[in-house]
Amino acid sequence: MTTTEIREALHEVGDAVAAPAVDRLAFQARVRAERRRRTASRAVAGVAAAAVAGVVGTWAATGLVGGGPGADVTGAADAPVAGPVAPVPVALDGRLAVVAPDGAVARSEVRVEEVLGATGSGVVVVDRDSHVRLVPVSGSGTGTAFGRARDLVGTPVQDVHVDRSGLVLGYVDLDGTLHLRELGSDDDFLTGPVPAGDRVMSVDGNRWTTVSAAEGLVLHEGETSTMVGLEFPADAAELDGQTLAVGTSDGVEVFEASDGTPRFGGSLGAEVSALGAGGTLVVTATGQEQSDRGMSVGVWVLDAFTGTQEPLHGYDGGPVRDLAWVDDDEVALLAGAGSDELWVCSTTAGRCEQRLTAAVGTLGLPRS
Amino acid sequence: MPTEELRFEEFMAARWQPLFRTAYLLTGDRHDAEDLLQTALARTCVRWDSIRDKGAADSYVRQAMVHEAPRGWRRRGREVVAEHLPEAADDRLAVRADHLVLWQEVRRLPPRMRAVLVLRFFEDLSVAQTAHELGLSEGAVKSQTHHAVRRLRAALPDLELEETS
Repeated sequence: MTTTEIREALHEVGDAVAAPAVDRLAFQARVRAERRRRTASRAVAGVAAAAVAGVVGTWAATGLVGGGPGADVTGAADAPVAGPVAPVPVALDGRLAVVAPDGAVARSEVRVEEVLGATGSGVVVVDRDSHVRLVPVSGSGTGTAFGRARDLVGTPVQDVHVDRSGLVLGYVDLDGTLHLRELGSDDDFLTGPVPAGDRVMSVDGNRWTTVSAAEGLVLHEGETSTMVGLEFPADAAELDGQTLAVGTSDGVEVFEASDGTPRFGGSLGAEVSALGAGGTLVVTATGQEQSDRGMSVGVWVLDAFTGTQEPLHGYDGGPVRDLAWVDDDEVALLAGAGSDELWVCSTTAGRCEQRLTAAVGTLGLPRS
Repeated sequence: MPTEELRFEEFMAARWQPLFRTAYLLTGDRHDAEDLLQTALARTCVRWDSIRDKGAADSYVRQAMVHEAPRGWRRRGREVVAEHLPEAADDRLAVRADHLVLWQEVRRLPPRMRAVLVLRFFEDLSVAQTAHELGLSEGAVKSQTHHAVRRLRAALPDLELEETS
């Protein structure tokens, strides 16, 4: 028996299912909503392209990274992106700020320990009291306004992650229990203990990764756990779509998210990396240690399925300290020795631009 | 029908049923399928004038569906590996018993893996076309197919599934 069996089964099932009549009223309502969403998205994108920041429309259209519910789904009818245009939420001088494409900074009064990232409904941060807060952001450029922050959990957390869709929040409470819930919901769809000494590294829908001294990196999906074989300890583990990207002292390693199988059979050697939307791309960059060993500094985009790598042009900063995706296309870089430099690269345009220079130690990228 | 003059309403009327079947195979649920298809068609509708090749509109809708389907799952926090997947009593499918068993296992696959099977074996797209619609490399499509068949083979050893191109 061959995959013909699958083909026959799918066709038989497809033929057996009767389509309902088109609900015209519901469809017209969806079209109106889509028109409103698209108009808002295009208006902001147009303003951003003119070097004025757009915040809400862009994020509402794209989600955190990997696209939210309103993301454009194909590029077939859309013009190519000319360069980086996404506003970047950052921690600046200990407060949440948004850096516009022209480098203009909108500063909030929200004191943050860390910025997790932008979602369709605002920016998720961890405040100085370890509470997870959603900060609504509206307007654009100098007219950017920050709304009243909402506490998403109600109690301090040990650790917290937002998945790349911007739709699922995963946090570890003070009793060591992992909670997975839709962002903004008060109800968990999954909870489970996190043993003492284990650390949650990432969440993605109903999947998450942990690392422990005893077991190393473990991939969890519902009740199933899979140990991921690593030669070096995991410093980071990013999960999205079919890809698990693990950062170690030896570089980034890419695995099948379904079963932890190595995709390339070894490290790809990048010191700094971040997995992009849908798990299809990894942006990698030269870090300080690699630079010290004589490697040339650069930024590349790697196809997570084929391993092919292309350089991103226009970056002439120093070794990269941190990377974070800010939407489906763009990546923020933190670099600089005597200062904090913010760069933004468009993977579609293949180009990087410097956006901001700040005093050293004052700028923090979103976790991505 | 001359595709140059095809209006969206005509396209939707002609393609609703076949696209619903694809949506059903992607979601495994009638209500989710209708929701998914309406979302994808609404997006296609507002972009209709900018779709130059109206003959490729099916592909446009499918791309919208395969990208949206996992998000629908995430919003609902589903994709739980359950002994019995939900299916309303009046929603039973009149299909061969062994095909129904195989379909139940296909429904348990992760959304992207399931999408690869649907595009390749239901829509009869080539590896290259499937890769294009999913935004993956051809290698990734082959890999996804391989892993999907491996999973199905493990779940249904009696079927002795083998991979063919």
